[in-house]
Amino acid sequence: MSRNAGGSRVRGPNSALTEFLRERGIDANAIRHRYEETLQQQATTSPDTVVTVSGSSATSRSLSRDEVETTVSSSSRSRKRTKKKHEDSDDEGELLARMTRPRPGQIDFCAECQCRFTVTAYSKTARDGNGLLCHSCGSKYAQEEKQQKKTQISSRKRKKSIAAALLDKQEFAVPKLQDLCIKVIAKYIEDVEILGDIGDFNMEKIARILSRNRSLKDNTLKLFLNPSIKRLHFWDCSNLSSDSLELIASYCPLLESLTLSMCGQMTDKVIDYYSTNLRNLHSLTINGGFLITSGCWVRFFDKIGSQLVRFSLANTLRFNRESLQALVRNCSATLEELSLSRVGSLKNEDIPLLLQLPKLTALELSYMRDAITDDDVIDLLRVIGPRLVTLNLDDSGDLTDKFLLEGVRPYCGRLQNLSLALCDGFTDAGVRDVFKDWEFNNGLINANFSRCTNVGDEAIQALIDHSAKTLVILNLNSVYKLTTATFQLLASSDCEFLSQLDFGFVHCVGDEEIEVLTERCKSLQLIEAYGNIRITELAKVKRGVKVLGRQSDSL
Amino acid sequence: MSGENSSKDSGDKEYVRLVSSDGFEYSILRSAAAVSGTLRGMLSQSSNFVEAKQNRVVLPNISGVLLEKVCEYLYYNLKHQNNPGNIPEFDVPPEMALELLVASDFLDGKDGSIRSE
Amino acid sequence: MMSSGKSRVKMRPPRNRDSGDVNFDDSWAVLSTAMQEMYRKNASRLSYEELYRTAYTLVLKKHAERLYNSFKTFVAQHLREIVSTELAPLASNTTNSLLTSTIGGGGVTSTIAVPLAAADKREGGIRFLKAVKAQWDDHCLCMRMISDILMYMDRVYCKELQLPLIYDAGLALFRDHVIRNNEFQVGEHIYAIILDQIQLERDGDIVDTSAIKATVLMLESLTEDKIDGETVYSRSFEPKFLRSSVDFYTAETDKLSRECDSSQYLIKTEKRLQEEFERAMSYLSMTSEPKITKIVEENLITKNFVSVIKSDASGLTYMISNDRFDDLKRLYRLCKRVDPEKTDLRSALMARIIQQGGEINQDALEVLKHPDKSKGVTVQNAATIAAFKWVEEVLGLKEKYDCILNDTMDGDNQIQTSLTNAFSSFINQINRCSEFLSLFIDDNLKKGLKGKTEDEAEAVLDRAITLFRYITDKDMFETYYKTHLAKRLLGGRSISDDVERMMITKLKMEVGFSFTTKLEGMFKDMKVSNDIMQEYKAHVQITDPERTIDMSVSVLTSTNWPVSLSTIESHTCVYPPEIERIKRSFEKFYVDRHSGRVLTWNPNMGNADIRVAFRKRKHELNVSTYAMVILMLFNDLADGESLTFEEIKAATSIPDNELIRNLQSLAVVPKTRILIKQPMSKDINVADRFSFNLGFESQYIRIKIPTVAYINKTETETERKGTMDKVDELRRYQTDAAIVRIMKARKSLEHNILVAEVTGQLSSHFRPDAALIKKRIDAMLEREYIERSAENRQMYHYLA
Repeated sequence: MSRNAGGSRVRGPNSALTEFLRERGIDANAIRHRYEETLQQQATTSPDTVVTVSGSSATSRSLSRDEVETTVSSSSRSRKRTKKKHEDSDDEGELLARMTRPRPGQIDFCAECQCRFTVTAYSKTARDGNGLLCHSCGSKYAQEEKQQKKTQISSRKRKKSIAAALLDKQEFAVPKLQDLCIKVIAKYIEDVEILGDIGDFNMEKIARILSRNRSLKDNTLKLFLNPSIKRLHFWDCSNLSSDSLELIASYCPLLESLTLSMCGQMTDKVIDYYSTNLRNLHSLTINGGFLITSGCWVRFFDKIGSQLVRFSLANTLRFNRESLQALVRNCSATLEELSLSRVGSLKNEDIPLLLQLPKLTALELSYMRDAITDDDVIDLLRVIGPRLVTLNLDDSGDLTDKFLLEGVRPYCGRLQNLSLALCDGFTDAGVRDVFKDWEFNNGLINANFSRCTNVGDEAIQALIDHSAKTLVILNLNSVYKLTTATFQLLASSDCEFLSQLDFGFVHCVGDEEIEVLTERCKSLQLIEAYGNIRITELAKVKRGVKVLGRQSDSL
Repeated sequence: MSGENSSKDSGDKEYVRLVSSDGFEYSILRSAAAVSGTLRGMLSQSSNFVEAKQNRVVLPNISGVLLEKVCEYLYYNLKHQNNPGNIPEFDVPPEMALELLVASDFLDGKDGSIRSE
Repeated sequence: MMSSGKSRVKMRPPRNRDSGDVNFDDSWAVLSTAMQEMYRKNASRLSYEELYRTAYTLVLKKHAERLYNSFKTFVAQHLREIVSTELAPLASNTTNSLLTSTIGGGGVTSTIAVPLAAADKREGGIRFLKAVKAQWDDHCLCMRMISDILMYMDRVYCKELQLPLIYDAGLALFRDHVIRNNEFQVGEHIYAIILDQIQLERDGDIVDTSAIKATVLMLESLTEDKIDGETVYSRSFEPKFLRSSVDFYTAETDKLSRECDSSQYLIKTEKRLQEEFERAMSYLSMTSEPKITKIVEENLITKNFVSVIKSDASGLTYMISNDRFDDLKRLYRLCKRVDPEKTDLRSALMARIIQQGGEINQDALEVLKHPDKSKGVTVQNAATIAAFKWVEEVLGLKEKYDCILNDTMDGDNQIQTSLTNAFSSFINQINRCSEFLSLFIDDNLKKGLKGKTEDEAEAVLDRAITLFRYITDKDMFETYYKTHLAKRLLGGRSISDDVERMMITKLKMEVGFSFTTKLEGMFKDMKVSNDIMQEYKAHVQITDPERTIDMSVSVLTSTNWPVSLSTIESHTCVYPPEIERIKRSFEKFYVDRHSGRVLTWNPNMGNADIRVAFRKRKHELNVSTYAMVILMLFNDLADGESLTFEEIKAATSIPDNELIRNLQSLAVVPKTRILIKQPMSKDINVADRFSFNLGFESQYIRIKIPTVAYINKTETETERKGTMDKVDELRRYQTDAAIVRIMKARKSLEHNILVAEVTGQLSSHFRPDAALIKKRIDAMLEREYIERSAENRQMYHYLA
């Protein structure tokens, strides 16, 4: 049976998930082991007599049947397994029951009302397992059982819906009337002729829902366009044709800020049109516009680059050195925020071009692994570091402690938002030394060290010591090495603004830590705890704090 | 709509009166009205505005039909706010969805003020 | 599920009553008028709904930015008006004179320079604070109302653009246009008034704290724009407050150190600390408390404390000698505040103890050197007296400091360590401490504790143990204790077996099992000997019923007892034949039972009861074994015959020193002159002749003739040297053993580590010095227990 016992070292190909779990020390053996342990515990803690055994197997049967019903949608394999399991226990129970049970046709006394009755094959066993029930008591009992099962299912359903809501990061409360209306509007969006004065905020919400439903289409787009509008954000433009995208500029000439995500149909022609028509545009975010050519970007910047304050680009391979040269040539006097993410066409020799953007306060160069090196970024920070408020270099694996100690620490006095997710080149001591007595900086508001796997207690404790008074968002997802000491420090550090905290997959965190944290950090609103197996539904979390990803929530 | 026409007394602190643009008047529980941040602000005894003194709010930008739906929602929210787990859906007729959106936006007040104090 | 195309419903667009463009100015006029009404407290005439809707519509029609800015302009203007019409006139009448130093030529100031009476001026200050506070309250109330009607803007505009919400913006406006008004700095006035009030209170006046408290609360709720927790209080007021406090306390420190003695100084310092604490808590901010406390501590304590402690007239020494416990308590409390290590206090205490201890040592040595002959004190007695005096005085000192530690310093661990170090240092300065202590115990166990209850006895022993703890060379003590104990046991001089055992138990608890095994072995030997004697007596009754001489033997395990007892050659003795016979009989009896054991006789530790017929009557004499042997010689002599020293020596082979001592006790000591010596002199000479004193008389039938050596006093110099040699030898063995033990376990070790480990192992017995260890390591190398490593000369390897 057991392959592992055979000692074979041959392993078949692994799925990414298996690999991922193994990295975190989760494997089938460990799970089985834990399961067996709990079984054993249960066995030792309930050395019951024979009579109660049959009783308890009856209740467990009803539970497991229930389970089958509720997990019907899950994979058939798991269904089979549960079924088999409870068949086994059925056999046992049946056997026991058969040994003590009177045969059909015999006369017996009802366990409930003590009346005489004839035993049939359908006679029910009394609740406590002692004796059988007469027909009338039996049917009453069956009714109750049904009712019970029903409430069980409904409470399960309720739990599920809570979990679903939590996953969406929604407040779990009575839905707001606006949201109810917006949902209806989004659903019937095809029937809407004009949205009217519903407020930018609501308009954006509707746009967001449409994006999620993939129902932002050429016809519905027009509802959001009007000549006075200054800001537009569309999160899913995959169904918008290039003509429609052009319409945005012709309908809304006053646009100042434009965000278009997943705009795969965006072409050079549209961007050229924008640059002639959107005279007030100062903030542009394009995600997924992979058709736009390098030459087009050059034209764009030459035309209206001098008014851009914010430019953000993600997921393209065509934004190259020439485009960037045009950007710095035209935008150096105005550009304050620049974000380039997954722009694979830029190389590390292009990074020094950014030295010509002296007004930058926010810089993101994320998911461009090969383009980011210590020396380039240090040179860059020497010039722009003193003004930077936001710095995001996610997934820059080549960065080392040198970057932190010679770039961030000496130059970034104003830095408030620092995101270094997936940067596994930093060591615990390196990160610690940045924050230790870093009086030059007044504290971070938003810090992201998720999946910096070589970082540990000393680093994060130094961060807490340095920024406890200012931190609002802290992401420590998958910083495995952390121990409870760090979370105790966090709880005792009087972080009065900390409102979001992610410590998913940090295994040391358990119920106790989460209770103390929510108790002591007054502003805490959201905790993400995916993969924290030690956090259970028993944790007493202060009201008003949302906890996402608890295993118990997804049952 | 629980039209409590009998309680005419405007001094009755338990009920407040909402008046629509077309003159319909609804008397609803104060606690239901307090679901709306805007109404709560208007009726709050600590502020000194005319509405608070008269226990009566005139809403010239909301029609009777809409206001009735609004009141229905206020009660719906009041009833379920302590047990939000499994509640029936609140029906919003598509034809009034846009108008209702505007009205509810108007009445929402500050963010997150749905819950009673 | 529900396809939207199926049921076509027409969705009514919202019909906005105010559809089309709104006129911003008209709407703003409505709102600004309303705001004015609110400031005039006329809100009850306003319709919330109308105002809210007006603002709502403006925001919906994208006028939010204008609305936000208009609101700010309006409020700013209103506040500036308030300052110039309400606050400035009030201030110029009352607070100018306070401000001459703080404000240089501001708009409204410096016209009235008439100095008002101090009281008026101060009342005016409070009035000004109250006026500002009233404006503040009004402003907050209005901001609450305005933020209510502009709620929609907060939600969709301010939050979206992350601008301060209306209410917060309103507070910031108050900060910038009232407190930090560039024409009339209300803030500077406020700060000066509060500082003035604080100065008054520090000088002993009573001030109106409620007005100040309210003002401070206001300053604390005005935050700075950056979110770093800074407020107007912490940014603007607190630094001024701290600066003025530094000035005050610098002067105060000078003043107090000039005017007060140490005791007064401490009292006033505590009072100041308490005052500042209460002030911070009651009407300033809690956040200022640690800062102001630090200022007081730095000035009054840190800067000046050494001189307070060291003051000759009233400092630490004075407090200790005069039992000024309250002062000591204060001293400790204050010292602990500024320095968790309490370095100054500890070093002063140590210096004082070592000084006092040195005096005690000096006194004891004086007694030794110059015994008070007039009181009949012999040299040896003098040593005992010195030992007693020394032990009692050290214990007395120790008790005094324990008392100080527990009553005034919370039994502080660090202080306790310092006390221990100080005691240990001066106790071990006097090299006879082990001997003194052992003597003290010996005397108590022999007579001092007679008639005392068990508890009393235990108390005395406990005191001895306290001293014992300080002694570093515990092996020295062991040597002395063993000698003294041996004499007590063999001489039967111990007052109680129980008390002896109690002492052993206590020693065991202090230094462990190994230290007392030998001592316990001694007790065991005594018990086993008793059993053997019983058996032997029974045996004699059967084999030799005629025997007239009783003999009692103590069989001692040689390793358990002091070395002096087990060296064979020094205790030779030729016994009289009758004794020799009995001795043989016992030897046979014993060896029969315990084959393989060798018995060595120690006549120097024995004693004998003999009946002697003098001319007048018979007496029973209790003498030492040697004395008995000597006296027996005279049995065979005719009356009047004599023996020379040489003859006695030849007949008995008793070692010279023993012989001299015993002859001294038999022939020199006046009351026990059993022998007559010729010529009569104190010293025994080789040519002296001895004859039996037939005419000896005494009123007692039983007479104890003590041997000079048995009188247990402090050692003479030569004895001391012998003891030291023995101890040194033992130390060598112990060091060797430790080296081998460690090397066997570790196989290879560096020189320094080995020395460190050996020192560690030995330190419970004595304080080993590095030279000794090095010497022993060399010896071990020579004897090839260990070898030097070939590569590294600093490295040793163990040789199996």
